[in-house]
Amino acid sequence: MRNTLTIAQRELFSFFYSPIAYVVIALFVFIASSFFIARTFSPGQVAEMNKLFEALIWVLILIAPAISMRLISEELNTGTIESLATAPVSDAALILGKWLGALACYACTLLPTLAFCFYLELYANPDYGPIASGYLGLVLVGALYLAIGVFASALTQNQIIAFVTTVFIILVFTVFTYYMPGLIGSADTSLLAANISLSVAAPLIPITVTAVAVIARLATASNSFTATATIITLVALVALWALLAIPSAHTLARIASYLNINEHYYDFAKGVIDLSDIVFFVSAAGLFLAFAVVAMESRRWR
Amino acid sequence: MIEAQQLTKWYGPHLALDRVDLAAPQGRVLGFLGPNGAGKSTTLRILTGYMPATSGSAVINGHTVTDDPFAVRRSIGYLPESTPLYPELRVREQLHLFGRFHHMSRSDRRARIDYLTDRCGLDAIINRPIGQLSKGNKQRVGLAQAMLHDPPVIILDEPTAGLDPAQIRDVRQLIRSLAQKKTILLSTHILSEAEQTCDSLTIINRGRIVATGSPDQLKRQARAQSRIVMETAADPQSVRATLAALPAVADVQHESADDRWTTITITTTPQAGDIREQLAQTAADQQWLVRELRHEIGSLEAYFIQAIDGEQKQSA
Repeated sequence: MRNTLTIAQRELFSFFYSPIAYVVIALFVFIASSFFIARTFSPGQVAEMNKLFEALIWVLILIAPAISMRLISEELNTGTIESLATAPVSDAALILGKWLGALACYACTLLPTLAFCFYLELYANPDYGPIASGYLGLVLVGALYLAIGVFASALTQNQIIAFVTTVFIILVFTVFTYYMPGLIGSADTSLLAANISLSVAAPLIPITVTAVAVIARLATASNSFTATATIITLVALVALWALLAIPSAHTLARIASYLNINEHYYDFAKGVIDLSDIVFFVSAAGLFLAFAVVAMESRRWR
Repeated sequence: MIEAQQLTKWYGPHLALDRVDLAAPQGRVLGFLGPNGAGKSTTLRILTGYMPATSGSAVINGHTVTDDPFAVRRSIGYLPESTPLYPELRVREQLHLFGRFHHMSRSDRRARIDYLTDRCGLDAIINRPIGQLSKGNKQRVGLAQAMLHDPPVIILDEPTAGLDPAQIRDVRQLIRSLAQKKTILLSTHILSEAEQTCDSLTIINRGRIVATGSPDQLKRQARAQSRIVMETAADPQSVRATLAALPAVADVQHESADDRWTTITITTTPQAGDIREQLAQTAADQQWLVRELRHEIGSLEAYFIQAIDGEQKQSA
């Protein structure tokens, strides 16, 4: 635990040492301010920030990976990982510390936007409940994105690959899961729906398998590991596909919309704090952090 | 104490280490010597637990590397080959960071860093960002970091790389002064370095141990197969024939130095040693005109090259 906090602290320090910090903060504050002025801060508008929050959630898709991409990739690239991995620091403490540090950096990025509350207070009487829940939601979404980012960063010593991988995974859980139920739901009869879901999901299998193969090969440089990972992914996906496509297309649609990050976020933006949404974010972040620990351990054992 | 048995490491189809045995008792400095790419760093990485061996076992300070990695990590100080440090940290911050990883209290860290600042000559750079330091200074910070938690076992991968001669001397003295209480394993490809710093040497080439012994033992082995160089104006063919007939001579080679003089290189049998008197007598008997008779004493370098060449010929 002590090591986790030590690592988090150093991460926060290093964030402000790197130019990325200032680019990220400036970009975020600029975009947030633009949305605030254009969509919230105008006469006749209700003094609330939910439209701003719903816009910011998309900005995070680029902001969070920019914060997380260097976390482990840089250590792998410069070789400092060798000192860390031979010091008495466990992989779990390392990953958790990196993530907490990134979360603190992200909090520093959000901090300037609190000034918007001050402007609303000057001209109106804003309801702080939904604003607070909106910020809670932003923190939870950021925590999940950063967990995905830590995982991607643990896979490669190339920060750009880490960034792109993170954005890709986030897009799967936002854009892809948003459109998929729509495609399936448009069918009326369950038989037709099943066929459509089959045809929609089928091309995903080779795409995902290829992505897994490429990432595994890049990350491990081991042919046997790549082959094993690819075969396991292929078998799992085909099994999942058959399982989902056969009983009901609507099951698939429901799963997709459950996995959609934005769906979980919009409640927060509206001022609703639902425990199931919190459970979703916390468990999803935990899952990706666990993946990251596995990625670190696999690096050691090859 | 470091003990490694039959360490083997495959990188895919490439055999990087082939049944490597190492033993370094406490109070000794073991030099791990070999050309670049011989498997030195791989071995050290296996010993520190950074990467696993394909087979074989390693015990550090009584802890098996694979079974008790954290006990091993606590008992070693390790300087990796490229001296990786955080460029954005100041030297003092870097040392505090790793002191915290070893759960040293603030006062312990301060005392220890003050001591190491003095010992490793960090006074001038202790408050400077690491990114601004020269290679040699970074190397000293890395050394200080390896000794930070006062570990019983110190493993240094090329500790003198990038240092100037004065700094090399300082590091050597530092290592020697630590030697009584610690087990030190250092890798290097510089022979004179190994000869002066280490109590025993292990020479590795292409992933295999080719020789083990104290520097003196290795030098004696090198000397056993010494060469004698003779410059003569006599007919090279007859000189060769006469000398080759001597029982102490294993091999005779010649090359002409200029129109008149020929350089004869005589390799003696391992038992014979210095046979210059015998050669002088022979030359006098045969009435050869001789202007030089020189005994080439085998150096550690000669032995090193010989050991590695022999290995390469065997495998070819």
